[in-house]
Amino acid sequence: MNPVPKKPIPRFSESLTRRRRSAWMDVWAARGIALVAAGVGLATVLVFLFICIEAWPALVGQVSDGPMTTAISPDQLDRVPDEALQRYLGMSPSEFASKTREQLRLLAEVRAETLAEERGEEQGQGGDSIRPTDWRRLILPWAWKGYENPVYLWQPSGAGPCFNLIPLWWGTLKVTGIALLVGVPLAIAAALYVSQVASARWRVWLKPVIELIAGVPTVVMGFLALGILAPVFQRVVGVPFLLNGMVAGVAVGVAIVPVVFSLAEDALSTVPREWVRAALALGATPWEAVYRVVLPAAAPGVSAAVLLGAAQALGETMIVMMVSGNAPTLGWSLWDPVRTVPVTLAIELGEAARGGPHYRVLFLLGFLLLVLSVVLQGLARGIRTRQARLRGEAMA
Amino acid sequence: MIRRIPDWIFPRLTGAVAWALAGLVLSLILGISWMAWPHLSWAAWVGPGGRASNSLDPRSVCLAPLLIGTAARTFLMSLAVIPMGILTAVYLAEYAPSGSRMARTLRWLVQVLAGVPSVIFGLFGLGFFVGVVGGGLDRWNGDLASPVWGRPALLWASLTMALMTVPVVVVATEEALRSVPRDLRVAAIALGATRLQVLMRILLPNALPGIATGVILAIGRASGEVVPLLFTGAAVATQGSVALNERFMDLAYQVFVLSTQSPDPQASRPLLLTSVWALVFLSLLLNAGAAILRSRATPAARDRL
Repeated sequence: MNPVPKKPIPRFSESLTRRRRSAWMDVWAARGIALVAAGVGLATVLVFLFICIEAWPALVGQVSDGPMTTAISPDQLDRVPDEALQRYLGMSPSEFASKTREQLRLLAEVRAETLAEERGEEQGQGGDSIRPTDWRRLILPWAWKGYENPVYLWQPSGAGPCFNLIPLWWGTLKVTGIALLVGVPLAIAAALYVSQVASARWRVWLKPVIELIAGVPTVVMGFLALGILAPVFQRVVGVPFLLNGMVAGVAVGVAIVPVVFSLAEDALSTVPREWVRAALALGATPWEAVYRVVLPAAAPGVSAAVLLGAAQALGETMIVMMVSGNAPTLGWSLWDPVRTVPVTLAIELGEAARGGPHYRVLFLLGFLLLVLSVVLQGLARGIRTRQARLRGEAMA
Repeated sequence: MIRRIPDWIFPRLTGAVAWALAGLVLSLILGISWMAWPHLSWAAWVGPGGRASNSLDPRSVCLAPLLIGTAARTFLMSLAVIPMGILTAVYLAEYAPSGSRMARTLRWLVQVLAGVPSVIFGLFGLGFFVGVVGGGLDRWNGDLASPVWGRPALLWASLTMALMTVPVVVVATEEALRSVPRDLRVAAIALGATRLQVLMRILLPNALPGIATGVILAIGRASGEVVPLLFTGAAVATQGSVALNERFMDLAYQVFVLSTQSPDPQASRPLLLTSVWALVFLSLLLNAGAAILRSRATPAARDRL
């Protein structure tokens, strides 16, 4: 038998240094991890802060009217700083840099002429300066030139842009409302079936398959709504517009089903089975047990699910952009084309000059949308955590 | 008798809805495959004559450049989101002092970030990454004539997507880390392992299925998302090169463009159908992968995911 080779016992100082080195790495790893975590937190703050800062001038009604303020006389070009001139002409830095001095002078002349024209027309209206980004004009109707009565008008391009937000929010309300009316009953019915009626064998299959709807990209949903839902609706109902708010609402309704279903099913299946059995033992029919016992017990969880569904419907962009017709209308008919807030952002942000009134108003819309959906989600989360805490206390 | 009527209706009605929804998913997958099947020739993948073309003519565009573009942006996004998400979750689950204000705030911020609509990320990507960061880089270089970084590009799109999907990875990783049995951790500490050793040798390997589930879900969410790409860099056609500061072609974006604003809907229909098919299959594969990984996670972790 060979003697086991004796391992040299490390001297005390050696083991100490080794430990110290690993402790050193430990400290730096901890610092690095905390740093990255703080970075992610800061990035989140940055998203909110950035949207807020970009929307700020519109929020406080102090948008610099950018290219439309004061005319710069073509003779004074050299006295104006380059950046101001570039903004005045509504050009990007690269465009600006590629123009010669002579071209700039010509462009400035044209700009001054159109400005004078706009001024003249506005003066004909009785106000010397109409700022389309005042809160009054963003929310209240206004008799724009060519209109006899005050109207709610969203018309961001053209000589006299109008940025009334009401048509956009009205469209958003219509689409979200229809989506909830379609999606929530479907999702809750399916959740009731899966949690209360279906046998365990089918439950394990049904739940993931219904949740698979969430895995279908929204652009594919839009494609199907465009190719199948819209023509079917038109043929069956005979509406004048192929693409309208109803198609968008129904498609978004299907898209929010998995979220509402999944959370509602969780809430419904955490209601103890004993309660149902107790209700049945007391003489309730199965429906009465569900309606009087299970649903009230799960009501907070189900309403949280509905709120999350509403938040998703509110922010849904792709489907709505593809099938809603995208016209900012104000009618009562659900079959009118509509334009929602997120879609407006998606369509128009590319065309808006950075820092101009249109850009500011779009960021204002984005800010409002952000606040609204964060509030909805916060409410839903608040309900859920409160419920979880109550349940924890009940258990304990 | 009348009391019994709801009892008759309730299971049948809800059952019909549940099965209809399940049937909708399955018929959607089968229907798209059936429609795309005749067009899935070799040429649909690599272009007529085996040459991928990037011209605007939809008849000569094929799946290959679209898949490459989507893969490039998803890969770049993963490079950013995996370390960010995992390290944040490690901090929240392991390093933050329990009940610390910083950890609570951070967790709250991540939850809030998860609820931000995708179009807001587009706004942020365009305004901040393209405008502030890219524009700043260009100004720093002093090259104003032609923007190099201050324009929509692959890098900005990927970073925007990473920001959008970071909550998915954080939540999944944190849950996975928390579900590693306490005994393992205690045993490692008792054997003299340092905090970093516990993390690298015990926690992360044991949490790996959960972490991978989160990463796959993040990739799945990002690969089908178009809205943030609208302003941050997707293009209908490119020069064919994939570069950080160039626009890129993208599968989901192509589906959007071809189904709403195709110059010749008849001619672009094969490409549209095959793109939709590829997109649906990609997300199905990712979802199935996530589901399988989830089922392989430890039972404790499975309950929480």
